[in-house]
Amino acid sequence: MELDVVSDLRKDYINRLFSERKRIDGRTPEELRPVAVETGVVTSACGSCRVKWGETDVLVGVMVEQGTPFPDTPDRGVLVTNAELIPMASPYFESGPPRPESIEFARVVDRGIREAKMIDLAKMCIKPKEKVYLVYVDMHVLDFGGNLFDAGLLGATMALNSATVPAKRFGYGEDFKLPVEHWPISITSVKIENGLLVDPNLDEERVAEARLTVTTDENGDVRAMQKGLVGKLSFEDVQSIIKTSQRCGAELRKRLKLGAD
Amino acid sequence: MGGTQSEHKLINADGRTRYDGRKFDELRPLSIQAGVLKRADGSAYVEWGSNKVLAAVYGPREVHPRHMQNSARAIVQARYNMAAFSVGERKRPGPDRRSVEISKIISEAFTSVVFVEQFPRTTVDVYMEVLQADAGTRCAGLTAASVALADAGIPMRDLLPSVASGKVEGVVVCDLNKDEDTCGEADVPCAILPRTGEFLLLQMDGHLTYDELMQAMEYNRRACKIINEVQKEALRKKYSIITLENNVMKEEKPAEGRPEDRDQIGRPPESRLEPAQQGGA
Amino acid sequence: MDEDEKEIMEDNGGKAGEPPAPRDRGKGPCPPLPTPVGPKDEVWRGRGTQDGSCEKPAQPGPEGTGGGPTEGERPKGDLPEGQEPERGGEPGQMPEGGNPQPYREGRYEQSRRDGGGGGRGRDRRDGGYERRDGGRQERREPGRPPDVDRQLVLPGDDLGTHVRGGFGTYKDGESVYAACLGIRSTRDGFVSVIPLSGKYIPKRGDFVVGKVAEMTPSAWVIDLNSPYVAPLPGSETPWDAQFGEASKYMTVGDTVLVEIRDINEIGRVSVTMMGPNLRKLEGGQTIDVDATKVPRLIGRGGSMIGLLKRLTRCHIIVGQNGRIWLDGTVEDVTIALAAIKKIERDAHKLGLTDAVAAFIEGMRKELDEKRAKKEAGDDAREKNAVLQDRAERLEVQEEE
Repeated sequence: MELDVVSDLRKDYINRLFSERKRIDGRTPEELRPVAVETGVVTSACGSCRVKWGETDVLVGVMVEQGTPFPDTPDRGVLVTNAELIPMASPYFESGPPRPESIEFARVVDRGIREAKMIDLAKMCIKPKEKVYLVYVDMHVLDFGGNLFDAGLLGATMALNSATVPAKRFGYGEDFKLPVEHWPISITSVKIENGLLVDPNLDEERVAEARLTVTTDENGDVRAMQKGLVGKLSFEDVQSIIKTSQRCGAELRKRLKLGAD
Repeated sequence: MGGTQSEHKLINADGRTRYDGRKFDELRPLSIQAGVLKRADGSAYVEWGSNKVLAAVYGPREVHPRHMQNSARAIVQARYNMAAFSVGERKRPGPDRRSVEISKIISEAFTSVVFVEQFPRTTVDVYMEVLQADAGTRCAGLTAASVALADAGIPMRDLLPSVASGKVEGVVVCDLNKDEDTCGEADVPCAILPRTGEFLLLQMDGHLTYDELMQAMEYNRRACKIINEVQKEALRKKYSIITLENNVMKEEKPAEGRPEDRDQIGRPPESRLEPAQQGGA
Repeated sequence: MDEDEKEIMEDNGGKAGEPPAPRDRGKGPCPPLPTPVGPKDEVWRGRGTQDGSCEKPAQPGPEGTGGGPTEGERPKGDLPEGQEPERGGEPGQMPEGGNPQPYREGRYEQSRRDGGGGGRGRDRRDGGYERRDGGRQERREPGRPPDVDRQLVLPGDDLGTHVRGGFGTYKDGESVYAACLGIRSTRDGFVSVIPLSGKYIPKRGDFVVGKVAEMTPSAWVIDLNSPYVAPLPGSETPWDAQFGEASKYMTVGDTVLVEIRDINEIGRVSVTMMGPNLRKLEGGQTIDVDATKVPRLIGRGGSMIGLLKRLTRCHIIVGQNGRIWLDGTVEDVTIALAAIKKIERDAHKLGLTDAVAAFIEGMRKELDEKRAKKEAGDDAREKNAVLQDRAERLEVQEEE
């Protein structure tokens, strides 16, 4: 309950700052936090990436296994996305079965990858109806500083982009780079009493009324959206947030030179 | 998504209708019944296209386990579940990750609508069972649950309708059915407050340009107004025998000083449950 | 959807290679993160009373409350015969004096305004037109006919602009909207909604029939047919119950008639058994009905309950919480239970009093006939079964 008390004070402070177009960490309402990425950090994985997005720290590992395909898609590989909100990342994370928050996080990231068709799963077929590659994306949240969705998706996409399919190990020829085609980026915004903030940090997320995550591709088309928290969003809020996501997404792409290899 | 299914055309050659005959902005047939269960505090049953969804509400009631309770307000716990026989291939019973996510976002939607501050330390449990699935089950569940909440007498800001529009063969259409959802290019489920047009639930997956997305959201907004009317009708039907349209003054006006009025326990005379002239429904 | 069906199959431990290992599901859920209360628009009025009486607005401000509605016929519950309801129920007075608002709404509203007096800050923006006139005027939209009242309204229905909202309504901007499903009612300038269903929320001064659900070292925990239970400590009973001996006086399952002393902002309820005729109820049976039907069960001036008592020859106590205690012969109690269920079901119908009288008379006739046919030495249980069956069949007929 003391959290609520802190939130009320924080909420007022955050809203007051907003009226001067400022935020607690000095950003403007339309500014992203500094983002640093590093791939290849876990050599036991087929691909990996560590993302430090503001104070949020997420480590994503990609493992490729072989297995049988789903019966309705006998000639396509399988993508599985999972998230671990491990207790060390936050005083609010407990060990145990996956909470709804972690399930939602994993599914929204998965949606971004899948709907953007980042991996052409048709290229991940070994033998139709019998054997396909299974691509596992596991996101490990090491430090929860607000806004997991964006950091998670970025880590996942970078890990996938740098992943190698260990075909040799399974006896299917030479190892090859995981074929990646498009590149989704998600940008999350929150609504506070006085307006909208992009890329919320932990405090901002906790006092926010509503949250909207928008995943776009390199053309700015929308591939996935997820509204969160219990508040309401007007039509205009949604329009504004989508536009912000398109703009910040493009900015981030340029900054990190994504898809430029 | 992606057309791994049959190649049948979902948009007719006339360029104005879909394969099931609907226009692009047309809803599937929708019917709602309120108060269908005896034990639940409130309930509703929805048939929407081939969807059959049952919703039940218990509450406000005590929270168990205790540590889940919030001393300032009620918590809303929605549970969305698909019956094993509801989809083409038997689904193993029990919540899967998809159901967990859907339950979460529906809980969040209702937490905003229900006056939770009025019932501290309680829970409002909302159960939605999909008995037969035909795409848009979370929307059908939410729509039914709204009616169930009102049926249970739980104070809310508004009824909450929900619908999913999307894109099929390049065309933005309203209220996807199963084939359209499976083979189409995008799906945008949402729940919109009728009075203000605000979104309480909003998701999207697929591929839409900004303009297409705006079009889908606009279809949703319009459709929600229609769905809201169906929700209201369902409740009116159940409670209509109490509607007092023709309340010709059977009772005298309440005069403040009269002892028998004061004696009457519970409510002022003109507000007692006296019926209309007709018995009708 | 492809993706979701695949999730489903994967969770099935289905054909996908190595599904994730099933997790240990024994652990309980994590405590929820606090969610800030968001909306800036409105305050729901009313604090869970079932009687539909228009609520007085929050604390008196420095200007005084300017009249406002009478607290009106606060439901008193039914006391045992010979007792008049005692606690502050006279119209025009606030019960117990002081501020009976248990919920935060008044404070919530205050914190958003200039901190001025009471919950009327919002109205002040209207130029204070309501405060000064003693609350008697109802400003309705011009041309709105008076018989819009008593209509069924649903949550979100517009009840008018520039009207004052009472119980069961909320305000957004200049308009008042229904907050629950019920009957619209206007009284003393307040538009309110009388709910047609909903749980009993304890209110100070109510007399309720409770059941002992649990015993703790210091109190009996009373179930009130409500989302809230109430501890009944020994100090609130006439007994001098020592620790460890409490069950001598009262134990789990016992039925009690208590009064609600208070309910605070977080829904903690306190009750007392210190008062005339508050006591443990020995013998008899209880039946729970929808608390919103209690006024109908009591009837205007107690007419319905009086009729029931007279015709069934039972001792009946109706709690405001919708729990009714009755005692009498097996036959009489069975008839009374059936009659109560009928009242609950047909609460909305005209001429219910006569219908109930006829119903009871009908049941009695059946019994007399049956008794006349059989000789003395009937099996009492068989007679009861016949009664039950008859009661059920009559109920079914009523439904048709």
